[in-house]
Amino acid sequence: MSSISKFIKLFIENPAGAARLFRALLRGTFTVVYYRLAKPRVRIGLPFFMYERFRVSGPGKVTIGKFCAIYPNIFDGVCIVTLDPCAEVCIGRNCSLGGVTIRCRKRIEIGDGIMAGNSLIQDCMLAERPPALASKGMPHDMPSRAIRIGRNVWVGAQSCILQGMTIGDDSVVSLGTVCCDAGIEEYHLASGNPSVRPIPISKLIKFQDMRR
Amino acid sequence: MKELVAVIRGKIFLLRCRLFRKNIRVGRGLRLYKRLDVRGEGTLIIGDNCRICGITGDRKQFVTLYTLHRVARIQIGDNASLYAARLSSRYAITVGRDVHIEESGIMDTDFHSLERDRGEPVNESLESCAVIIGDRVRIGARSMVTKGVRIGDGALIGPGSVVTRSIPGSCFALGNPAKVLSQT
Repeated sequence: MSSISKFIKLFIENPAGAARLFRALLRGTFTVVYYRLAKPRVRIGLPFFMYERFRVSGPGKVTIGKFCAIYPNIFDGVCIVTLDPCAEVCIGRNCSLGGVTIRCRKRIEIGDGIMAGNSLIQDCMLAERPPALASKGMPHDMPSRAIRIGRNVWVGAQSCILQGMTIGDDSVVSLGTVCCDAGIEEYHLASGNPSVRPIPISKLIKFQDMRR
Repeated sequence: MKELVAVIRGKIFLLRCRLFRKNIRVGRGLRLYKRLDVRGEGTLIIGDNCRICGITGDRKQFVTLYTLHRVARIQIGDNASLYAARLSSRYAITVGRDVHIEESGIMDTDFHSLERDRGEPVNESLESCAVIIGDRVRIGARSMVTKGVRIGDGALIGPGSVVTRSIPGSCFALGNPAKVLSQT
């Protein structure tokens, strides 16, 4: 009941925004119904707000929690690709994703309340496997390792999170970061290409206060 | 079905090159899964059994091979697979055999000078700017290779890296500028 009253209040204050929200909700619902019917291995919770286009392809499993939103981005909508039949992508509740590309070969776990810009989350170095190279039996790619991202992580735009990453709760991956095979602890900020040493955010905030 | 369409598209491209565009030489068994965009008057040599594909999950779904000058030359070896790669050459780009390139740019010129008028680049020559990529090199998505770079045989360049200096063979490099992280 309260959500309906909230919506009415929003409609009075900002009719254009409310209309956009309503459209996103409708679009999301249609998408969820389509995936339920056509691809049963993709499970998306309702309500699903879809401001921008959203695609899932590949043979693996995809699970998305409730109250997720696909926000408009200047680049692209969200695309989730599973490259292997045993691949698994789990995304938690309350996530806001804009322009993320996820390519999964093994397992990608994303916690609740993620904010992500136009970034690449990939648990292998190379997304494709050409048959000409695969038949020769040479070690074509590094073995893929699972990615785990905690709750309430903020992933900046243009960043790449590659195989073997574990990111703790409340951390920040800043703009243009490329990181692989490392752990970012709880409440740390990672930056740089390649990212070397994450900084604890509590220390960073203290430093800012000192400068003032 | 997809294979068949790709083979037929490759044959049509080969025929078009034989008839109209004498500067392009294509080997046997080219497969075009996605569009191949070729521009410029320079020489373009594609080896046998190459595959031109788009990368799954991104909107950039075609391969571009641009030659910016009459003397420019792009040479791609046998069994190469290009997934949404962008090559633009002013001098020479040589790509070896069994190469795998994903959604990344390779260029052998700066396009502009450092002067304020941003005119033609100075101090560039074929010897200093030619890009040579060895055999069995794999380049990850969203990475860039700039002028005068040599990548040794069997190297793996990680996604999102910018290669500005030469990389030895059979190693894993990542970052901006790309550094060798481990030997494989």
